[in-house]
This record gives sequence, structure tokens and C-alpha cells, in this order.
Amino acid sequence: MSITEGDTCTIVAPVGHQGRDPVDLVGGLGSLESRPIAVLDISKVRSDVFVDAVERCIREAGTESVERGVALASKRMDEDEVRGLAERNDGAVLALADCGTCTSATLYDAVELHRNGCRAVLVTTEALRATVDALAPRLGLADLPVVEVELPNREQTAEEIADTATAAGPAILAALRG
Amino acid sequence: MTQTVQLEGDESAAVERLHEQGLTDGLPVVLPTPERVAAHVQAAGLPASELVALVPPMSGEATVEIVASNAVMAGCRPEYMPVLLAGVRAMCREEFNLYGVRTSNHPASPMFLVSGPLAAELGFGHGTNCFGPGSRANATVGRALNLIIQNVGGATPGPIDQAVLGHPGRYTYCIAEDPEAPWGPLHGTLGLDAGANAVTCFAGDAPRAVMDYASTEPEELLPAFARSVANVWRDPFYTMSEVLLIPSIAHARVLAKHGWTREEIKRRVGEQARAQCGELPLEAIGHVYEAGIHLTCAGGPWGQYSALVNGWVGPGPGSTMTTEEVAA
Repeated sequence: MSITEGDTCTIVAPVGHQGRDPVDLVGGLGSLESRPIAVLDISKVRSDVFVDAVERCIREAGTESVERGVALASKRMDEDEVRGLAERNDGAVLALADCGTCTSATLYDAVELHRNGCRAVLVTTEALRATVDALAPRLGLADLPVVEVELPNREQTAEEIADTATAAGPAILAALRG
Repeated sequence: MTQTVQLEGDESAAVERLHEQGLTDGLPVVLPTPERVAAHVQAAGLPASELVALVPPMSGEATVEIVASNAVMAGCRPEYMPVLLAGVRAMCREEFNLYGVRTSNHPASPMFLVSGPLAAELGFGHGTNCFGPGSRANATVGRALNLIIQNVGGATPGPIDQAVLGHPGRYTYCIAEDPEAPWGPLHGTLGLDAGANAVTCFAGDAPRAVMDYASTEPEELLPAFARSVANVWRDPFYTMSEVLLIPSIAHARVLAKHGWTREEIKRRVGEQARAQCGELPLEAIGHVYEAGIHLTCAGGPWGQYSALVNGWVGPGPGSTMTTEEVAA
């Protein structure tokens, strides 16, 4: 049996519709004074060093409160967790997305925070930027605020990580402010 | 509604187009023509448009027809469809966390274990070289499931599938369970009737050998398994990783020689592994390592070789083993 019709073959596409419903970007917060902000740690080796430095930057910007929490590197947050964070905070910083699931899971969480009205900023590395750019539109928010740092976290010493995070501080604050 | 696509050229050229579009695993595929796909849909006994699951990471819609298209590409026979559909459902359950498993830098990939009388009827292999070549059902169903993760789920190697090294099971990773296992089928421990046909899904690294061709008593043989388990437990980077022990039937006969049950064997392996480890990294937060030991049975009829497959991040923060009954 020939499957060729003229110069073409007909196949049933092996792909299906992909993607989640689009999300509206939560606008910039403007001044961070009197704003509650969540700082979420992927909770892997030395990630707390990075997040400590981010927290210092945010506190120095005069935020009302900083909620430290965990955005697990291996699993997306459940809906209740996202909703609770968004109810308590106007903004959130998730850091540092520097591995496969650290990035895919926190990116998902960041998009869902926007879906729930919280301006989330994802901090990732140069190495994972292509992943962020590929995933974000299909998770519903192509223009998710993202801050990129140069080096993968786990190839730096604790001191270098703190320096990298501190250097990224202004960009993180700017991404929150919009 | 059937979504058909026209590919330029003859069948060879059309297959090349599929390679170019990143819709294959790099091996040759069978062109999923409407006639071939229709035969697989018919064998599934379900409407073509019925949604089977949303496949992570990109929440791709896997209808019966789209599953069938990937099945054809992988070389499946139509009668494998009910098993394939159960595999899709198992890997897409929320607690399996395919989203995490297939976007991780870690090499883990879903391993599928087919159990029940249907496995033998369809030619799924549990015996000699079951993780290697020999069974068309093992090879093609495992391959189809990986193609579905890639084509429907969107886990394309590179930007989305970030595995640093991966492992060969990302081409195909499907075996049958030995029906002569002295302790009954694994799916019986996961909420299904022991007599059911089932597909169990475990996020696993590549299998590693467990060897002991000297022991004739269960107490002598246990340390071989315990050493392998202890190696996983001692590693601080295997966060809560579960272990799937796969004694061959020869080892299984020794382990069950004095009537030890599955639970007793797991308990004894756990005790011996713990004795070798000393303090374990996650004990301080109350993690119970022994709860992550699973026991099945597969492999050739002689030769004292078994296997251990360790998992990805375990239940809770990671992946929980799932099982789905194969619809009649």
C-alpha cells in the first residue's frame, strides 16, 4: 500500500495543544516602602547565601516586611500555597533558578503568583535564560520579570555568591518597582 | 478532530521531516498515517478525541489519537494501546511530578513496570535481558511513552529537558514483572487487586547490578542488596530517593526460601543497610529511609544477578511511584 499521495504524505500529528491559560502581568509596585515582599529560596546548596543577600537589599529599600519562604527546587507549589503567599505579599522574589527543576518549578510558581495578583520576580542565571524564555510563554506569561546573573550559583564560593547577589540587588529592586 | 499534516516527499523524506522538526528520538520512526493511527485507536476501544491526560511539563493534551500517533511512530502493535494508555495516565498523575522529573538536571526518567496476566499475553518481557533488546512490547511501549513526554509534553532536549547526562532509559524503559515473584505483584502494594493488569511508573536512574553468586541462604544474600541500598542512602545528594529492588527469580527464590514476605525482606534489607550507614543525612528532619524501599522481581531464570533502580527526589518534595490499572 502506498502512503504517498502525489508529492506528499499525510500523517496524524503526534503533538497536541500545549500551554496554560495566559496570565496578566502584575504591574510594578513603584515605591517598595510599606510593601510586604516575599523572598523565596529554592533551598539547595548555598542558595540561602544568595537569598540572604537579596533579603538585605530589599530590607534596605524600606519594605514593610519580608517573608522568607521556600520555593522548592523540585516541585511546583500547590495552589493554596501560592494563593496564601499572594494574599500576604504584594511582591515576591524567587531565587536562584540555576538548575533544571530549580528553574522550571520556580518559574511556574512565579507565573502563578502573578495569576494571583502578586508581582513576582525570578532570578536566574545566564545559563538557564534559554529555559526561562522557552517556558515562560507556554506557562502563560512571556513577559515575566526576570533578573539574570552571570554565573551558576554552585560554581561559586559563598563569598562570591553573596557578591553576585548584592550586585544583582538594584536590578531586583527595579524589577519589583517596575 | 483528527489533526493531519502534509509532509512533502515520499515516506523516507517524510520521516526525515519528522527528524528535522524534533519529533523523534533520533531513531527511525514509522510514519503515523491516518490508517495506521486509526487501527491503534480502534484497538484502544475509546473515542479518538478522548483526553487521556495533560502531559507535563507543558500540559500537552494527549488524546487517544495523539497517543496512537506516537505509538505508531514508536513501532507499537495496536494491541499494546491499553497498556500505553495506562502508562500515560500513571506518569501524568500529579504525585508522580513528571514536570519536575523531566525538566531536571538529574538523569532520572519514568520506568514502566507492566504486571498481570496481560503482560505475557502481549509479549512484555520479564526474563532474560529484560532491560535490553528482545521484547518488541518492552521496546516500543517504553519508546512511545518517551516520545509522548517529548512531543506532547514538550520536554524537548535542550531548553526544556535539562538532563546533564540523561540515561539510555530515556529512549525506552519498560519491563514486565515476573509473575512468579514469590511476594506477588508490586501493584498489589499500591492499592490495586493482585490479579489486575497494571502499569507502575517509577522515576528511576539507570539500573545498577546487584551481584551475589555464592549465597544459598536468605541471610547470606541480604547484604548484597543492603550494600546497594546503603550506597544510595549515604549519598547526601539523593534527596529522599526511593529504591526499587529487582531481584531476579533466582535471587528471589533464595530470599523467599524460608517464607519471608515482601515486607519482611524490605525490613531486613533496611536494617542491614542502616547498620552499614551510621547516621544518615536526613534523619535529623525525620525522614524514614526504610519507607522508600520497593520490591519487585524480573530477570532471567538463572544467574545470580539482580538490579537496583534508585529514584529521583522522593515523595513529598519529589516524585511518588504511581500505578494505573490497564482498562479491560
